[in-house]
Amino acid sequence: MQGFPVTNMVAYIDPNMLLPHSSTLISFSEWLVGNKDCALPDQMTIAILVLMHQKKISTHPIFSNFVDQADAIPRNILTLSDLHNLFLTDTGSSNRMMYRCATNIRDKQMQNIKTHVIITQRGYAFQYFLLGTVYPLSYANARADTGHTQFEVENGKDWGTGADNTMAKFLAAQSPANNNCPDCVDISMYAPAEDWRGTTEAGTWHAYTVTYNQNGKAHGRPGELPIPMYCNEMPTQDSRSGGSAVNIAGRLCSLLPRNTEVDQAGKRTFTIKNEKTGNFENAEQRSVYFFPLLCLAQNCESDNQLEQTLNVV
Amino acid sequence: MNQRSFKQRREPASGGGAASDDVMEMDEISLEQANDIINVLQITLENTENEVYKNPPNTARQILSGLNINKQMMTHCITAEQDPRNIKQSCASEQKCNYFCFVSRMDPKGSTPLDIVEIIYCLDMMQKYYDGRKKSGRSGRMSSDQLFDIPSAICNNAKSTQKNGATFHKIYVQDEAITVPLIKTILFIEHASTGGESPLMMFFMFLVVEVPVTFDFVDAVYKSCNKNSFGKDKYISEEIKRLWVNIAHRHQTFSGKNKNSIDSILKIQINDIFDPDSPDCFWKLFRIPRCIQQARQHMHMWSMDNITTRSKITAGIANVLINIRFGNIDKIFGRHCPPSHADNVFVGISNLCASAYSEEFDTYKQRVMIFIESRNKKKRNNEGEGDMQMGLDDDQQEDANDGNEMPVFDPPIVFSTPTYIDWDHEETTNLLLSMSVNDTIDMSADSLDFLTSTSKNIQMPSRCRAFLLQTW
Repeated sequence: MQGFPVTNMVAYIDPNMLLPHSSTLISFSEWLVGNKDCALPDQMTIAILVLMHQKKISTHPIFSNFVDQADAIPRNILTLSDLHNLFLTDTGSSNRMMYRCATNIRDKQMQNIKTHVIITQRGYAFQYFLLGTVYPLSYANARADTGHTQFEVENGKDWGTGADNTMAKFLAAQSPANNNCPDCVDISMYAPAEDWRGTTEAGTWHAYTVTYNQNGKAHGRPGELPIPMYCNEMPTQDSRSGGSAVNIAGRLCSLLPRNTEVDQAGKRTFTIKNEKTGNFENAEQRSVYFFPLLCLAQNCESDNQLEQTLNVV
Repeated sequence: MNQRSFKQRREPASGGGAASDDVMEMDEISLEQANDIINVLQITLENTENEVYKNPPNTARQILSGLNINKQMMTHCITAEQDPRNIKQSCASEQKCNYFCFVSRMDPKGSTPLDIVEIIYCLDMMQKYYDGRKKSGRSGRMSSDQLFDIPSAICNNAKSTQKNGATFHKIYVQDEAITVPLIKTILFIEHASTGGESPLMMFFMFLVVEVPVTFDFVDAVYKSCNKNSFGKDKYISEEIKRLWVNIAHRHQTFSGKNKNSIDSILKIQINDIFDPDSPDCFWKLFRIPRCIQQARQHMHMWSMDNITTRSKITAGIANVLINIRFGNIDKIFGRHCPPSHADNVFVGISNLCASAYSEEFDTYKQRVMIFIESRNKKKRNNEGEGDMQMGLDDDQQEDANDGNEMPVFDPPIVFSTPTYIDWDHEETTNLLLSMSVNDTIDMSADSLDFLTSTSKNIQMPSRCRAFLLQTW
């Protein structure tokens, strides 16, 4: 009868870390704000989610592979006082982005997109993932980097200095032509990087996306941007089980920074208007993307938060 | 070029891991190699002491790395235990502390249930109130409206002392004084399931509170929400009172058992929680066996609802089919006896123990009050005799008090949920088997007799004794 039977997940509550530290009594609502709802550490919530999803409970300690173990405490923590101060000043894990630690979540996210049942939604999700998340972050990094150039690709031209130079090389770094694009992909339809210097994130998407009509003929530039559906906007509940089960990938994705636009992408097939007949006909959009490279093409030397965010992406 | 970028990108990503890795690598590097490395680092470390006698301090980073602690396992006030085997809890028979327990169901997202957050808040306010009252300089042993700390108890020579306005609760282990923290709270998260390949599953959060045996936890809770105050303090005090009523009500009805009559649903007020004769009083309601039983029955109720609403299976048949298991709590039972039957017995034992404890405690409190009154009376009578007793502390005054000593508390053992069962122990096995065969007879009194006799009659070295006690 040694206390409570030990379970797989155990956590300590340190009463001395509860805020405020003064001895005066405060109301519950004030107390909640200071103590952030006593949220469990990320590792525990993720473990619970995974267990709920798998419904196969391991008897082993479960804080294993979800998150990289050692890279979460800043390097300047040397004493327990430092650690204490960190807790008091940090915003806490409940509203922090999971810098550097979300490789597995990223994989889940991508897996979720790739396995989306409705093909139209799958396409939209991925395109908007590029347009809404990957490109903006990449651009932001490139713009922020006025110092050391990270994007040293096969770019023979000299495009100015500083941010301009960096941006130019970043654009070149994304170009299919500079990335050993497989022969089977016809990249002649896609604009060379130098043609669209100064473009925007949306412009990048336009440049790398070509619309084909029913006859397989290129139809100029894309007729519309993908419907805003961020990759982290997956339903967290599994409707098939009457809402009682959690959609694990959706829940994991929701831990990432949210940029909510709409809950659901449209389900209709992408169409373009046939100018001759006036009818809307099915069309196909093909995008070229270089996801791994975009991950690498980031600002590594400055201590920019976007760096970590992109790393997560 | 990409490789370069990759390396640069990885460098910050390895972040905090670098230190622990370095530490591990340092263990494998010889002293000579270390000197070479230090030279390369262009650092000089002149050493004139004999390093054999050094006791090197570790940085917080090293300690945390050793404990496998990282940021993902911490929030402001909650730190996850990487290896639950490290959890240290004392045996009920050792009487080093008192355990209370609270439970709530977790949502599928794994967030801390509001019930538990409310309890943490109330406990925090209770501690603030306790510390504040003590620091105000008003000693807690003088009158009934003030906080009461047990001066001394037989078990582990526990005593409470006051210094600089703060109260310290101490026990003695092998003649060494150990200060027991006022509140130690541990969260245990446990899953319950219906078993099989694709079970229904639910997670529960158990909040276990450890308090010193010399600390009147229940009274401190009561007084923290009944303090005399004005304005905002009064409002907060009322809010805490309301929260405790809600907490108690939720615990009472968590299993669905109390919802059979309108009476039981509606009737609850703050004083009911502190009525020692009520089956739902604080001492009985917030105990480990009770919480485990409540959680199991809650899951049972939920599973019944799930199955009967999704199919035409009747409640009676569903009730027979459903058998709720806890992943870890029920491990000790193996397949020897049904956990739900065991719950009944241990809740019964816990209730009996809690009653005995609170009764004994009230009696003791009265004895202390009488003693203090008597002492004060004598003091007043002796005032004319000069200042002979000035400068003496409480203990010395007690010694000088004509041989009348402060009463010592001898608390009965509060037996709880078993954490280990020796199935080779004949009496234990017989008792549990008879319990599993027939669960309609309340065997908690017999079981308590058995436990008590086991703990008191066996004269053996403490280690063996503890082992036998743990047969339950």
